[in-house]
Amino acid sequence: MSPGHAASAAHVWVDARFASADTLPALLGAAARAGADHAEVIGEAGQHGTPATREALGALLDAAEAAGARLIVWLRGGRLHADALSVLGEVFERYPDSVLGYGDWSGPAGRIRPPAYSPLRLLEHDYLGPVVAFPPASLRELLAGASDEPGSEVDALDLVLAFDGAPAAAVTVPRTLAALASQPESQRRANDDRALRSVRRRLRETGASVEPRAEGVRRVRFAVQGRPLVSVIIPTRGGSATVAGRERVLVVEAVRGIVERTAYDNVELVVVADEQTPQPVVDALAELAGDRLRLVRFTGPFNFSEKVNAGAVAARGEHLLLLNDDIEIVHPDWLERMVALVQRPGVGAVGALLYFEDSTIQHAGHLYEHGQAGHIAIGWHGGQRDPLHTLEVVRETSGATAACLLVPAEVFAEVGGFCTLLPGNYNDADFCMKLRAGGRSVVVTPDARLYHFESKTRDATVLRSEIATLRRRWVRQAQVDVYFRS
Amino acid sequence: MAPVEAGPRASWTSSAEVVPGAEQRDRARELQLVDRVLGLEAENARLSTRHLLTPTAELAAEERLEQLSESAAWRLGWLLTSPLRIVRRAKRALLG
Repeated sequence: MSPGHAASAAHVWVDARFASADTLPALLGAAARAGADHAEVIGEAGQHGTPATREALGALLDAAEAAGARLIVWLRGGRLHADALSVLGEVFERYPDSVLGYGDWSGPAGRIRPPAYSPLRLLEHDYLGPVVAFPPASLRELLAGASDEPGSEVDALDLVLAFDGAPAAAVTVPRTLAALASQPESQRRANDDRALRSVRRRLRETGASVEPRAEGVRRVRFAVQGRPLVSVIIPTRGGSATVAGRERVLVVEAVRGIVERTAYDNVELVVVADEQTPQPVVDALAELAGDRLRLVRFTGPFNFSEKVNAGAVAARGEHLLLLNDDIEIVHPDWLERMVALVQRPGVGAVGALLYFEDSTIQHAGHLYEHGQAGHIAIGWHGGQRDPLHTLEVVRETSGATAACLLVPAEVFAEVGGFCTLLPGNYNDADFCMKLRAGGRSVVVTPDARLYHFESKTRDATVLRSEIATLRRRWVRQAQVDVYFRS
Repeated sequence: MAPVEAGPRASWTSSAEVVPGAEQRDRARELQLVDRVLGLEAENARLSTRHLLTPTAELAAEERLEQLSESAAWRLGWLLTSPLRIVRRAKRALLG
């Protein structure tokens, strides 16, 4: 992708709802300098621009198509970079099946790199940025699905929310396309309110609740469909560790958290225990969990994947929650939040936000760079905010740790469970790659927060064979992370 | 509960134990087989010319390469290996 390529007949719609009136001439000027064939103000009902209703925009689109436009660029408060239209034109020529595109932008916090198309995340946060581009035919189709209320206002967010095609057809362009223009506070609030209404309208039939979470961020809560049995699979050897100055038997405390401090109660506990697990630990588990406990004896040499698989085949639940024994529950509705998400169409697994003992972040999703797997936001303090609200929203990710991962039992079987060639490391990364290769997404929710005392139990030795297996399978996919772009 | 030590040969008993039957053993084997097949498919895809990456991932990978070739480490490496390239070019010019 190199600048300088001819723009392919782009029409720019400058949305007046995202910029103060006095900046509009500058935004139009920047569009002209970027090579727009035509630029027009929209979203100014009753004034000079075209109202942003479905009908009025449909007519504008007719005119653009008649004039030979091959790309409509919806500008939401951004000053287009000089090469933005040529970059977009080239991307849409190179990937002709693309339905929409958006890219990076610069703002007071520096360059913002939005994630790859993430439909669940979009419900909670509009990460599309100031430039959203559509080929006219796609725009027409999305407009038709955007709103069924005559006269109601439409924004590019509504169009992308209406998109239900293959995720690959939504392209994230890794180039700075625009600089964010200043926006009055009242306008920002009005846009937040409109986005809230859009998401509510989109989810009307699901029964989900949509409420403001913070400025620019919404909390979407789907209800759990039915009351499916969740099998909590905990591999353990019955070990102890000192946590917060107190010695504790890890698996007993993890089970106690589920039995005593978890609101969702249709669970069974499948504890996969090594042969040498102390008898008093086994007795304590039986006393805590009663007839909800299923104990599976594990006798082979250490292999985490084999243990997880052994738990999965002994489980009876519709969903499997893979849980490490060095976990502590923070709030009671965590499991309910995860179950509601894993029931969403296309979701293959749901992970949680995990904290170290000192309340810094241990895990907020897998992060891939240069063929290596790491953790998103590791070491961040709990309430840390960033322009893309990483710790505040439900997000699609490249993967999530098996320290706490919910997956439908059917899906677990479909992808062959955990790979036993990866006894100690990368088995969750491989599992998530298999899910994603099959077209399913992996999601992390901030509404499930747990402590993970990882360093207390983990042997960090990575076998050469494990690295080799991961690379053999996924080396290309692990070079860059499209959901957390650094 | 207080921590408990276990000897290496300890072996627990419990009425909650689920002893895997033939069906469970078959399912565990089936999981392994499916995993190997998917793993081989992934390897095969990696080795073939088939398009593996989405447009977004492909563009991101290209950007990463651009960043890499503009990095100080890359430039230094390029500088350090330039004598080798000059020799190689001269050799090719001389020997044809």
